[in-house]
Amino acid sequence: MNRKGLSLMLAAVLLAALLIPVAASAKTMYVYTKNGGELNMRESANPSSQVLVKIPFGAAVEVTSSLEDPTWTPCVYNGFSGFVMTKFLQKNKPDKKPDPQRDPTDVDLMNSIFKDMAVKDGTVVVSLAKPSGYGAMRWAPAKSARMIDKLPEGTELSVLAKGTHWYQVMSPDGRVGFIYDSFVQPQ
Amino acid sequence: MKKIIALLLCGLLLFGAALADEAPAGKTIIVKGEFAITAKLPEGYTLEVTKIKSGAVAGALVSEDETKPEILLGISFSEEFDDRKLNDLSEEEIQDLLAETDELFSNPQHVIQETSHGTKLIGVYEDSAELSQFDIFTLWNGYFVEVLVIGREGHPLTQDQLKMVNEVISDMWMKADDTPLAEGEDPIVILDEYHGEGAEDSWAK
Repeated sequence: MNRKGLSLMLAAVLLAALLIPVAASAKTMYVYTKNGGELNMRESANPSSQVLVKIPFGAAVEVTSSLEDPTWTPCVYNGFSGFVMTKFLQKNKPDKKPDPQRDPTDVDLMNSIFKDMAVKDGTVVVSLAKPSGYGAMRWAPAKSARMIDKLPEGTELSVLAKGTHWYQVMSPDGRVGFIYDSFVQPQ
Repeated sequence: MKKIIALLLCGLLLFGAALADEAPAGKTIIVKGEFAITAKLPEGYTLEVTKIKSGAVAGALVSEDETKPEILLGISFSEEFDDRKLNDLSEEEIQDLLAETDELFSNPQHVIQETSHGTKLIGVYEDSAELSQFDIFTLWNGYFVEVLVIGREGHPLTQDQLKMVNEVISDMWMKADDTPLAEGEDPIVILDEYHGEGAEDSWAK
């Protein structure tokens, strides 16, 4: 073997040695959303970054880092490489899709306070009307009520109730709250 | 209106506890393994419903007297502010919080004050001729605790009603709870008692 060949072989061995820990650290995780909806894979670890692909409930993804981040996990799915929110991944393949049942207590509570809220069905999609970059989901249908989630544009929300200006909705991860009607478009 | 509200809150938040004529009924909500919050209910009010859902606890203080405002209590955990208090936040972080709160207001106004226990509170309201909704919140060890006061059917809130709400907040305590939660067990326990005694991990400290 000449020197060039030896150098190439050494380089290959070194490359393999570098790749082995990565391969060993790769593990399969499964998408689990509380309402059975799809999970967004984003270009970077940021809720406002571009959505690369929507991953179905129960689909397997290959985690590409051995470092555990409580918020974002880098992974590969169907040829796409990006980031998903860690809380929607689990080690075991889910048995069945959850049924996103509404919680009557939540609806009743707000109906007793906000007389204009009435139980409804359907879906709305976050469509940003403000430059904040997200649709604000709040814990009560009131302007000053604290935000419990920032929903990126395009997020599909199940409608639980509808008032004069507010929707009571369930987000893909099962959170229930209220969103102002100018932030969403009915489907 | 802004000046009146600011002066009112300034005085009431500092001395609200002393203004109560008699000890009203108390309630304690325990969320096992998370926190316990205890408060004295205003006269004529009952704690009708509390519910934990998606990490948030919502309570409604209601009165059969339709001249009295609705009072909502919301408690939600924020990973972003895990283990921090409003008093710990920088001016920039507080401004960011206010910007989130102001999004839907036409002319938002804020009052930042401290209770006699030293807990910093932020009041938010719309600057208009008549005040029909008022919101007070704080951050305690990662939990946003919020009291939302709403005039019935949009009726304006009176100074006496604002005073009443400030008394509730001034007497409110919150502590960490480490009670173990068994699988399938309801995490919420409601006691007909007021446990406002100080503790090292209470927001009074």
